[in-house]
Amino acid sequence: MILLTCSSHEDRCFGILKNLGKKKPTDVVIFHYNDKNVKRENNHKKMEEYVNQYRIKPTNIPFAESDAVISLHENMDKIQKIIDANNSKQIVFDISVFTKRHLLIMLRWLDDKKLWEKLTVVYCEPEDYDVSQFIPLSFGLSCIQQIPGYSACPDLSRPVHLVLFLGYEGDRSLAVYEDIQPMQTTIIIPYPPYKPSWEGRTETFNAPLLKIIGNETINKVDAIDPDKSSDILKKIFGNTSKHGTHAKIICPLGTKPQTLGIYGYTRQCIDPPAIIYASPLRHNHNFYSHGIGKIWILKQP
Amino acid sequence: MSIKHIFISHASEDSTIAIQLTEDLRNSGHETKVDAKELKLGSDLIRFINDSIVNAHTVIILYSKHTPAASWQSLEINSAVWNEVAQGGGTCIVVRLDDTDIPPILGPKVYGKLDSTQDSHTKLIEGLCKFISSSQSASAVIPEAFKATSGNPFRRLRAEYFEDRPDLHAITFALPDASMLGALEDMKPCFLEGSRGTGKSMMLLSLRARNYLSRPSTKIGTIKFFGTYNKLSRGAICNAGIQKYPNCDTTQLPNDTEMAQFNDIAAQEIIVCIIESIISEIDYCITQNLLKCGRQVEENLSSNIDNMLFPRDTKKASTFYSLLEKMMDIHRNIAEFIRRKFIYNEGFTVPTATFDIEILKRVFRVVKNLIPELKDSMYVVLLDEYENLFPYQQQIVNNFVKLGPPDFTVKIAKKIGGTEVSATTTGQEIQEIHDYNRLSLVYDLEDATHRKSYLEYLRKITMNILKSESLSIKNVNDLLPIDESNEVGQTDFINEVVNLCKMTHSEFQALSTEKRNEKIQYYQEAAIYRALYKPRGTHKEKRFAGFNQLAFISSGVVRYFQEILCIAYHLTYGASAPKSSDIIFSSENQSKSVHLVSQHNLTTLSRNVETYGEALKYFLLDIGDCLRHKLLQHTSEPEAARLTISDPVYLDNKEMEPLKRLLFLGIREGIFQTKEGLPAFKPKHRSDPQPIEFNICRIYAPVLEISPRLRWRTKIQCSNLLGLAIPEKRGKTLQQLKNDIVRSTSSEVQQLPHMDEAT
Repeated sequence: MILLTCSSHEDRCFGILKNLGKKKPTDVVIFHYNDKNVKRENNHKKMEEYVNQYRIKPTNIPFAESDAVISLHENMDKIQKIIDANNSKQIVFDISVFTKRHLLIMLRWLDDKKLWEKLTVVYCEPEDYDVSQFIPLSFGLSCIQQIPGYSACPDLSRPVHLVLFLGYEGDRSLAVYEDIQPMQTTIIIPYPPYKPSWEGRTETFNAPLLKIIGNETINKVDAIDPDKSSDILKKIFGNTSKHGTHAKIICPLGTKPQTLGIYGYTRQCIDPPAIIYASPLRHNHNFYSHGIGKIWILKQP
Repeated sequence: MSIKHIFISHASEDSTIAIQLTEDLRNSGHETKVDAKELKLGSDLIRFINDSIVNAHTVIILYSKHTPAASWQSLEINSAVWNEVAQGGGTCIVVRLDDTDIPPILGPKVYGKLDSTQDSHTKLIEGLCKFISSSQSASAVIPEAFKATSGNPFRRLRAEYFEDRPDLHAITFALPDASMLGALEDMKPCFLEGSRGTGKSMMLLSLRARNYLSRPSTKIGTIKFFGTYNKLSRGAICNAGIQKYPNCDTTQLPNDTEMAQFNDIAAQEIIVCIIESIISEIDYCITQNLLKCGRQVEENLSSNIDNMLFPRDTKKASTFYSLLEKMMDIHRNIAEFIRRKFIYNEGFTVPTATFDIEILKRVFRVVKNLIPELKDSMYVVLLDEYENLFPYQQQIVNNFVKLGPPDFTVKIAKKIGGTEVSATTTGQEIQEIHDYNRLSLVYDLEDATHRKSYLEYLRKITMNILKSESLSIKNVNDLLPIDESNEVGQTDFINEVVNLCKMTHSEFQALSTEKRNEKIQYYQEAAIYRALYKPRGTHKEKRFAGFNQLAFISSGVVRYFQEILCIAYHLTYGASAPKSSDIIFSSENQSKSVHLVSQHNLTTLSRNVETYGEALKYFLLDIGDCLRHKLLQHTSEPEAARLTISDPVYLDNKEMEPLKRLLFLGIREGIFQTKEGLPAFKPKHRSDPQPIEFNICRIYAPVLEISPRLRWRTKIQCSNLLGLAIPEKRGKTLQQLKNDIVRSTSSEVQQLPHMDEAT
């Protein structure tokens, strides 16, 4: 089994490695973001120590979030070689702490390399988020960009229908809404959330946006089941084998399993949506998440 | 200022905790000041403390064993407490860092204790944010007023509401004055330029066939224009090379072959998109009976276009739908090609058939031949959000500008101050006047003709909206009454006039009545501002009411005026639709609305403007701070928001990059409105620079507490302003600028009409 994972300032980045039990990986690839973060560097070391316990040396892949395509170019061959060397083995993809942009790029690449069927996607929740309605996960807006490889099949005269998967980052969701200026907007809120005590947080963080758009367009979709996200998109946009009446745009600010669901929907579409992403100016690293929560094996839609 | 901050008072030994607290509060969206971070050697400490306390909505006092011996902190505590109690200033709260005894006067202000654990820190930040949020004046009104389901007649501020509602567009759209309309309806291509909210999209949409044909004035059988609309929204188009060489950065330019591929693939995609928009528009117009030719043309047109685009295909499209499906296949092929070739670096060669501008022209000719109603029409390709294209993609659009006429013309909406690419992919340059016209949608309110057009335009828009809601108001002045009562007491007012005249009261009284009235008239507005804002620590808002004042404060940007009306309606009638045919906004609600819109537009900068939004907000706040200082302190030139950079030529120097970036981003986002030097006297060399004015858009005047009138110039050199664009130099530069600005007596008076005389 090959494990593709990623280090982060969040404790849960080593949740999967810590709980592999008897399932010994033959190779472990750890993606390593290049921005400065002391907490992440400590966690990265811990991850390497966990891998060393299996008497293998992890392959560290440096990744620049801001230059995702260049990072992919530089490391594609390395990852491809590892996969080729473990030809028929299962690939366990731990999506817990990948940024959503990176996650979607990786999913598309693995799929284009005909590895979709070999994937087992796993996800580790944090024990809790350190957020409250007064401390958001991130601040400001760095940029709004299309995720490389996720362009739409546009008829640009069609009115824009934006589907926003919401998370705990109200600034970003409102910025996307104001930038895209869609004619129609549909909101997706994770429900039930991972924990009952987290109920209502998404609404609180996105209160200004929800006020503007109104409650009529809100859909509540399971936070952990990718199938449900894929299904709701089919319901919103209609038949995946026909072209739609609107130009579709999706912004994945929700959970990682929901992002997997978005990918599952996109790969089935003949008229796929554009996927855009808003990066924050600063993450609130001191108040993010802590601990390791439940671990899930996710079914790919 | 209304956008106030949190000030953290601490002993120098506790500066690490103070800095951490500052950063956490900033990351939670609160402007926070701390001396440890902002004061450098040589800074004016007293002034810093004074300004920080006066302009703080909350003062957090970190109290520890070091506090009793910390002389500067003691001064801060005394001043802050006095300011709160005696002047109604910012709220003081005490956070204990240890068990040191607290003086009785601070006892009731103790908020909590901070120990070294993360849990304690988290709880404190959360609690402080909660406390601060609840005490701030809520601009939560704004989203409520803009709510999609609201019955507010003025809530449709944006073009997207009209994108698929030609009926509504036809009723509410107001034609601009003849000069604008002329450029828009001319065969010559045209760039419509404006900042956020200037109505670019609305203007483009007015030429879209479905909207144009829905206008009551359009006569059947004489279709002058056939416009097809393309919104170049992010993520939708032309992503060859995306992220790899997004802006063709010269340090990592692709090689010629790659560049040619980028261009080729982007050109094909744009042409496909335009052809799709033609088909979709015809389809829509036939379905809605706006084109009378009926469905019989569908098969003929589809197969003809199919023959042109896909000559080798044996299965021909016989409906618009099937033709569009084929076009979508092209997009899919292009998307895969881009992914394989440019993202995975695989050896893909050619993605699809080759389309060029000639194909596009042929499509227009076919439409002309097959739809008799469009035989003599002018074909207009409407491209919105041009600024979202990368420079190499803009070159492709420039080809259409150069080579489109006479078969078709292009009208392009772009943000002012964006990248200017004049090249085409054929090696020719596009030239203003020769190849295209430039139409600025920002009205210059200092120009009498512009001002008149703008007021007329706003009046028409407002009346159209009222008419579409069947409201009976016949005049905008009935909707927006003015308040003629005095804003400040007569004594305070005269005191300020006397101060501004640099006279004693007796000297002033000794003047003839005529002279006195002349002085009062001359300094009237300035004296009101000073009387309102001068008492430090207290706060009174300037009043803005009446059609002329609201138009003036909207600074030539239609959206701001509409936002003010929208909020004023919400403050008066809430979210419900008008219950009677008569509506009226009190001067109090008009004024409150202006302040809310002003505050909203400032606070959302860090969210709405990418990367430098936060820096731009602080830059604007700092400049506002300087101009406010001048308004209150300068003895003869108080209303001096005409910010004039006297040596703009230096903006091109490398070290000036941070300043240039903020100034030009400010233009793009509509924060600064420029007036370039004197057009007839362009500088011949660096020693003879012409000044450039960066005037703050008037909508920000209320929140910055400055006068929106640009009566006097404030001349600044690049080098003096640069520090405001560099975070670590901000504090010191601000103090220096304030000193310089009050000392300077530079400029001539700009003779401007009073706001109420703007007509």
